[in-house]
Amino acid sequence: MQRYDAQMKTPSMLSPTAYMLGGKAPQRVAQPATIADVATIVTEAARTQTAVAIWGAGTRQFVVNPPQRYDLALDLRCLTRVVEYQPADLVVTFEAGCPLEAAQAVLAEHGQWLPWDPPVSATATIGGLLATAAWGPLRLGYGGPREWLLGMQVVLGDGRIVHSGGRVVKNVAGYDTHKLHLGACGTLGVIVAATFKVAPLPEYKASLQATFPTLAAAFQAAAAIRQPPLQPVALTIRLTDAVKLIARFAGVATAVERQLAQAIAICSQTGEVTNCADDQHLWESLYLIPAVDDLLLRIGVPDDKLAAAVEAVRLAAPPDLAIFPGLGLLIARWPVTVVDNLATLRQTLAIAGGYVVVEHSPVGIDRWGPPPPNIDLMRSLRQRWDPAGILNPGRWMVA
Amino acid sequence: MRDELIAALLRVVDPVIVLRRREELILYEYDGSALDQGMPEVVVVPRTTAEVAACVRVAAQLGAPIVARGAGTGLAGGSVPEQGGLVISLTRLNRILAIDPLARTARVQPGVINADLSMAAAPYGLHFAPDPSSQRASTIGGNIATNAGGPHCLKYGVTTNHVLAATVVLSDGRVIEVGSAALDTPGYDLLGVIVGSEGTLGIVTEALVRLTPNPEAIQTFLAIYDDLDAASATVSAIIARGIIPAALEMLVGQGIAAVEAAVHAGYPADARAVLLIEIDGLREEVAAQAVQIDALCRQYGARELRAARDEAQRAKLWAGRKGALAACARIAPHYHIQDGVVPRSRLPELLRLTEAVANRHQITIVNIFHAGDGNLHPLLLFDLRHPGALERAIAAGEEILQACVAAGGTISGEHGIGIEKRDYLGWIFNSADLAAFADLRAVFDPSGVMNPCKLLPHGSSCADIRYARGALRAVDRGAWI
Repeated sequence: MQRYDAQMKTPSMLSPTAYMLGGKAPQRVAQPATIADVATIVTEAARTQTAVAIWGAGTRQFVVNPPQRYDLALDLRCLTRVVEYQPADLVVTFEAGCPLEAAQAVLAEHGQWLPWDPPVSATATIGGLLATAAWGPLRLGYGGPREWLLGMQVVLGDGRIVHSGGRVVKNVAGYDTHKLHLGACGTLGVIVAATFKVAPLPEYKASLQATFPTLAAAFQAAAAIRQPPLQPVALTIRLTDAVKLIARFAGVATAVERQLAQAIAICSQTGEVTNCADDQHLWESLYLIPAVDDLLLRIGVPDDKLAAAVEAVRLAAPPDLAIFPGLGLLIARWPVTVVDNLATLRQTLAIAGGYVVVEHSPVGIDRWGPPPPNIDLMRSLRQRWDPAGILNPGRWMVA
Repeated sequence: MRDELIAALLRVVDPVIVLRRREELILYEYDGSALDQGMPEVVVVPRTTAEVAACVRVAAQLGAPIVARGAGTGLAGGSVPEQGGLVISLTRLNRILAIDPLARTARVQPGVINADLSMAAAPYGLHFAPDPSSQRASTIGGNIATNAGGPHCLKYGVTTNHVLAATVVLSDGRVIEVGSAALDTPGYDLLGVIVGSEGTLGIVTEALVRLTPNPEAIQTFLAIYDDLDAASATVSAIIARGIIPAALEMLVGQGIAAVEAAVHAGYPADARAVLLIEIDGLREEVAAQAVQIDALCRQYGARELRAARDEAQRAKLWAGRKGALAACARIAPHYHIQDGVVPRSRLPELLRLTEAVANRHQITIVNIFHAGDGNLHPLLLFDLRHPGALERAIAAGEEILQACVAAGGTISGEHGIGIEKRDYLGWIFNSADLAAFADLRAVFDPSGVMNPCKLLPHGSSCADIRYARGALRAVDRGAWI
């Protein structure tokens, strides 16, 4: 078996001031080197009612509230082992502190990848990205992390080390509890390792960029580009004062070229194709990074309501949007001055079966809106797995 | 207890949905698994979510076990009422409520038959991707309960990857919605644990599922081998090369002749092993993969590689594969089937081990399985009239499963745990893992009435069970792997 122990760089222990959340520093920092150490720390924290904030690289701490209580920063960046990687099986297990980019580099050595491209910096860890259910444009073609996750090891809030799923691509033994931890923002347990199936790197990737005179024209082109046989792996409309569409195709070169040619023809009917290349920075230019004073909203609706949702958002704030046709998702950046329009937007979108989550806010705000009707089941689950309520207290909707 | 339960049900629902005569109940005492039987005390056949909820509420109040059932094609005893109680058959909730070709989704009731949904979606160029071999009989609800797979799950994923939302009746009769047509709704992913929960967390009475566009091009091959190792090494090599076919199935030994005798699809009866390989996608992709697969099959020693001439021959090859379990009734009258999974690089050694186990236990084992996923289906064939045959079959099955686990695999890839594999769960999960599963179950079903004692081992979810393994049944009653 190949192992890559300690091949990734581990950070040095930092002082509590490096772990500030909402202006508060923890009393202390723990940087465990093993999963067993994580369990020991959490067990002790549960016994002593110590409030724990879980840290990866800290790139997405802003998507949840600052903690109500904050005693211990649990930094997982020393958990960097590639626990198991059998390239011939297309399955890999990483510890949670591995940065995704470093993990992709390990896979790329064998011509493989995890088609998961959340818009984050290179330091962002797999554990943190799973805990916050981060996703990127490739979700259209490959599905989100949920589709690639085969199993997980977690330290529950009472210190129990548990695992679910397995290391094979097909498995129905036990409940798929790893799906509960995906996006739970560390409120059910501390993700310490995750197993993924991986894919062969596509032979060829190519993207096109086009500008359109109207949003409606861009939506129309986006719909046409998604009609079989075309299968874009990513498709985004960036709406500011201008309307820009970016589409990406991947696979066998001849198939990519045919799709690209058809997509160019479609876009050229009403828009202007301005760029055509295999160009990751085209995609990086789409990332909506919130400035300190900005709100960043994640909005989801049934996909057929996406255009209507965009209209509702445009009524509420000047347009600064990344729209994901086919996924029913959009990311909006708002100046904090229009924050009062949030309630109305939530009401409008709720009627369409949608929601607004505030991923970044300079001010205290209701991030999730009205709780879902089955919130009682969620609370009861948290109660069982984190009975002392020590994991990220007050940070998420079910905590 | 039985009379009380029936009386209570008759008070809350239309008597026509309550089945209580012995000749009615006897139909519900088994599923597609060979080893398990149990007679329900009463069966209801509700027509609405409200009726399901009313029945659940009544049974739960009396503490009666509640077992949901689709078409009864399960292979692990999941829908067998081993403790009596109430069986809720969902086959009358069988309407496709809506197909949305633009959103590529369908809203369905749980009793809709898998293949019927794909047929209804066909005019829009869409299909429901999970394709268990039972798909002409099994229901979407049952597929959701077991997180069903199928040959094409190699490329397209299993049921959990194709369910967006579900309406669920909980053990207290409350009706909840989990998941959504919108992605990433705030909150824990409850849908993710409902799928595959085998009726232990609740009963799905409606679902929103994804439909998948039909591929532009399809090519199906039959690779024929005189050597078992060569065939399994080809499978490992295809995956290791990074080629993910739409399906990559393997038939071994006597199973090939049995399938050919049943369907006359052109399976060579004298072959040691065959691979059924299907690739799909854009035509350039299919052309490129066809060249690679041709080269690999020959490099690893295929005697012959045949391409399906036309759609009719392709359909026949698949009919043979999907009807394989029934076809094996030609070999022996009784079966015990396993569903272990191994990392795909370990297939050759597991197949060799299966042969050794078969010889040692003097039992016929036919392997007809999803090789590309590493999902073995050793079919242990025997004749119950021979003393000790059943015991040998069970022992052989356990030995193979243990080897799967030792190779880093698991005990079930798609059939579920149900009754048959619950006591093997401890081979792959420790007591802390199992306790966490039990915690989850208690959140959804605090009174412990939903399919009690299934899916988790004795002791972890079940205080007292009245259970005895029933008599074996003959193979050819309509079962699929």
